[in-house]
Amino acid sequence: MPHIYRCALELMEPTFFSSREVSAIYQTEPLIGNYALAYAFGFCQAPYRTAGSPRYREDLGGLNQRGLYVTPATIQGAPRFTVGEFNAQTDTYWYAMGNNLLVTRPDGAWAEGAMGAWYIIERPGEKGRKLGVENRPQHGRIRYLALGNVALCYVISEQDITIPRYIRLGKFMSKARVTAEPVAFELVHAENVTIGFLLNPADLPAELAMTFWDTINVPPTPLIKNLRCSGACYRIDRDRYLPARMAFGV
Amino acid sequence: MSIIDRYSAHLPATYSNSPQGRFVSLLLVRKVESEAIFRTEGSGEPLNREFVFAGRQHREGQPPIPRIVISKRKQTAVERRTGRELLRRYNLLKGKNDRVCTLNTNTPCEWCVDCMLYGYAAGGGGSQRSRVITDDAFSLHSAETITGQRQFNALFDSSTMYDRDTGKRSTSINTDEYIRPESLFIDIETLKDVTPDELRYTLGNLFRSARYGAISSRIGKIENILAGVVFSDCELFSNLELTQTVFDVLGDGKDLDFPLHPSQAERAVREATTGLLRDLPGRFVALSEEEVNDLRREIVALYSDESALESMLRQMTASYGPRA
Repeated sequence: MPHIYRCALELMEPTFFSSREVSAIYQTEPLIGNYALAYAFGFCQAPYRTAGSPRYREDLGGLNQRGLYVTPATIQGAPRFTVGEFNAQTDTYWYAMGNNLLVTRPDGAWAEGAMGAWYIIERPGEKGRKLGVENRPQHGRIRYLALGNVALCYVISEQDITIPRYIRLGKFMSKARVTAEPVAFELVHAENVTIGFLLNPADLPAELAMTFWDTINVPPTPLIKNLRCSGACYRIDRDRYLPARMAFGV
Repeated sequence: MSIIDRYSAHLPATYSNSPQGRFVSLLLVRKVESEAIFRTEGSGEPLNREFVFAGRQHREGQPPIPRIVISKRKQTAVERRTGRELLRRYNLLKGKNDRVCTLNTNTPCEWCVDCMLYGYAAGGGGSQRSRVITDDAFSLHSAETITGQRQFNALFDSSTMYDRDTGKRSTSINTDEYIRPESLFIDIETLKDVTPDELRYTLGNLFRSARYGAISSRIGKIENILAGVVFSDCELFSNLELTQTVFDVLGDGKDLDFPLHPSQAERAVREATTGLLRDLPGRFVALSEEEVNDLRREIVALYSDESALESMLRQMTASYGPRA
């Protein structure tokens, strides 16, 4: 039988995941995905320098071999948000905020904006070199999960492990305090039980009979909640069920 | 023997791409030396605030207080630029496709000390995670105690609000909320897997950065006081807990005197840290007050010796290997 830990994450700072991007508004959905948590808890490590594509298969696959799994975290009570504006700044004295472009110019050259585009001009009279735009945010608004939100997740591990007291979450590495406690449970065959908290549908065992659920579309995988299902479950706290044999579906 | 050499066993000797969980936490008291403004919404908008409990030992039913927040990115934004000025002086910001390494213009060189330590994300060319991690810093006092209002207006060349040539009146008149001088912010800067030289460089940037927040060509002067240094194998407590514990150490549930001498806050940070570290599920070493002072002197000496500094920066740049 594995060990199951209930982990309460208390956000100590505004926390940002880009779950949804609508024009210049970057929104955090009120949840924390379990891939993010696997890295945040230090169960697997992302290298400091990456080539750009995620390493879920290598990193999370390794956790499956170790019999280590973490569920997504569900915000307790009504989620609270804060909103802040951001803008990128360069480190030159002169710059211009172009359309999807932060313009700087080399020493001795001149920059001119015309018809919404920017040109770098080296010699008087020439049309100049046109600067390309960049498809990345230079300014906008961020909706963060506010300080003080509490989210709950479960860690299921073959081995007895120590859960870190503090972890960092999201794009800005915001600090969160973790209170982890082992929970007592029994393995049961559950009939038509509802699981209120968030689960990752890609990680559920094939033999779990799923009747209906609510889908939340977020990258990198959609999550589900209020799942009604039958099958092998761990029963914790009398009326809480956790599907047995969950593993990262990578 | 220098302090950093003495503790170099707690640091990796060279940069490695795989995290090793070696943490250095710099415990700071940031002292506001002039007026300062930290906001995200632009001119005339209020300062950033969070409603939090004053202390950790808050009594039931005690309302939270508003604290002013210096957001995390407004800290590194300044400090990394301080370091980049130095790298630029020694021509250590590399070029890529005939454009020199410039922040936020999608032209990171991916190889200078700044790129390697503070990180970058390039469009399509991979990314480097930052090993200098900042947290939102909270004011020790409540926002009401440390803020004031200032009205500003923009004058024409005639030094009046009336432009005689066009007959226009200036519409630029508004009120800014500002943080009063001698306000204190309690802050931890976390360095992860940094080499001894990277630690020296980061500390240098901290001690040499002096202007933060809005209108930093006029206001926003800040002195960074190093109150403590902790080497550990895991993350320490949060800024919020540290600030609240410092509040408890200094007062008995009532708001604190203002202004408060920074040395009192420094002492309280050390005392609070000792208490909070008892709860830490990991191994740690905290520097003594004397060692922290020696460390500061060490950095001052390094930065005043140009040849030593230049050779350190060149060595660091070379240590990341040949350009890919």
